[in-house]
Amino acid sequence: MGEKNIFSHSLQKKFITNCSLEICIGAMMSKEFDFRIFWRNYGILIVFFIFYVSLSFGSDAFLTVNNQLNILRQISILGLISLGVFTTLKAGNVDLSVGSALGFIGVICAKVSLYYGTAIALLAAFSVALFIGFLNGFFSTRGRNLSIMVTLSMKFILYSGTLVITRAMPITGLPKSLIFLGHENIGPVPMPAIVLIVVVIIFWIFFSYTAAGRRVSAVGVSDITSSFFGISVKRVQIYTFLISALCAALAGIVMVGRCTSGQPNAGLGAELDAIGAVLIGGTSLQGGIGTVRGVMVGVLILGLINNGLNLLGVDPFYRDAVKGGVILFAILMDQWERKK
Amino acid sequence: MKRVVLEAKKLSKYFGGIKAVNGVDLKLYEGEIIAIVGDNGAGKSTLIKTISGVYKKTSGQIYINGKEVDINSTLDSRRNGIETVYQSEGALDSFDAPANLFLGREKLQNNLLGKLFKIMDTRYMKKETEKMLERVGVKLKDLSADVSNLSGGQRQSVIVGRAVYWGGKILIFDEPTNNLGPEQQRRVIDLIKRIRDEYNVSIIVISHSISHVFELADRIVVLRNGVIVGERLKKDTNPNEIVSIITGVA
Repeated sequence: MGEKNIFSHSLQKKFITNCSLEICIGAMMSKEFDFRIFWRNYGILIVFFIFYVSLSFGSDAFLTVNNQLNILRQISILGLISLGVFTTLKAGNVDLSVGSALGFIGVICAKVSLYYGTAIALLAAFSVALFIGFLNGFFSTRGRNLSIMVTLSMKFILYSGTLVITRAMPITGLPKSLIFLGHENIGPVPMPAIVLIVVVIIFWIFFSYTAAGRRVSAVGVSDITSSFFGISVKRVQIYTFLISALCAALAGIVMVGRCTSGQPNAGLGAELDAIGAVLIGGTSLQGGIGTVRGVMVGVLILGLINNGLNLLGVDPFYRDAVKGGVILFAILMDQWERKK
Repeated sequence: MKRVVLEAKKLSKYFGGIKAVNGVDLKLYEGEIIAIVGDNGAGKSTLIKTISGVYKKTSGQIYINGKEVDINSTLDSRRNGIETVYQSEGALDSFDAPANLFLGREKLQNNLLGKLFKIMDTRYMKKETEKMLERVGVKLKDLSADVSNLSGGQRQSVIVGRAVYWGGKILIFDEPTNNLGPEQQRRVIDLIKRIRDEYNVSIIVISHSISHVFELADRIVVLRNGVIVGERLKKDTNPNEIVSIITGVA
């Protein structure tokens, strides 16, 4: 912690006032200023901003380059699975198995790499992911609103699978090339952060500019309308589960790198953090509504809570309460926005 | 005599033991507007959903331009020039007009990006939407506004325009005037008539409103318990007679 906070306090204050002024003035310049619409567009960013700024003031260790990169490293795994959960939510489902899938795929990848090397291990990881995603998707599309139950069952099955494979012991002695994604840096930037940024860009393009991404949202907004318009609803939904599982696989591989081992308890319960992040970001549980930007802000907010409360010296036992409070706040604000 | 564009012969749709549509014979002539009326549960909705491929028919045949066609999905019906215009499910409210017009038939960029990654050509879609809206006589302030922000009439115009844009020769309207104010209902009725005149399409309308039916239709078909119980040319009948056929009170 030898680094100094990169902004002096006076500079910080100037920065904050300028930024917030700019946002507010920009919004109020438009004639029909409506706080609801303003909040819908910027609310979550403001919350993030408040967190960020108070942490910068509260702890000298927070606003250092090192710590910022550290945060990116910490949120990368949550970010990856959140994007997966987000994709399934966009299409009107939810994937609760991402946490366990992350762990399961991670240990399979680790185990296989011990015998067959990294390339085969990665191949195995993604194949298993596709298989899990397909099962999730296939069973979830057998009826309405099945995905919660189907993916919950999958979560338990996969965790059991992880324990059977590992006998509850970490898998160690992995080849260097396998832990590259999770462990190495490029310059000062940690690999996991780079992976996350690349994936975020892919998702952003997918949902903003591709026909497939648009159809995913369409299915989530209304499966009836979508099917009237000739979209194959089930197929789109199965694809979203494949995407989600692939995200979990990538997260699992990064996790193996970070731990330099296959951990039996990796990713346990991570799906709840992911759903929390996605909800904070303004994604609707009813499907269709939500943006990649929102998800990432949600992930960042949870990341800040984890990182910042530590730095502030807050008793870690309170951390989940803060998370819960923020999620509740986000949902209440969301309801308020929707009221006519 | 005008050409028959759509004909259903002994068309039936059963849900388990319930005969929702039971042996319906129906003809639709070129450039004609027919109205299908009937009480709740008479089978109107099921009938048009069977024709448009939402439901799979239990038995019977459908002929388009004299040729028998096999309609098993909405895509099949669309390929045969049948476009169905649903009221509440006809548009995605959180999508803008161009996205709605091209939903399920997105125009991709005509280059490597389009071929490899299916990147959409949003500029083209916007331009086409403008043209389409102009044809149905709507001017939108902001094309990228969600459809939920449009008035009921504008929204309906987008939905109708979509059907015409994609070359529908047979348009099916499911309760086109539902949930609209009187002023908007007026406009939708005018729009449907104008489209018939301009594009020489044939139209089937389902409606609860007898007065709208009499304004729109050339011919009125009455369904009861899945069976056609009466068929009148508008000029040979009056609302009272139609209501008595609907209710079965002679």
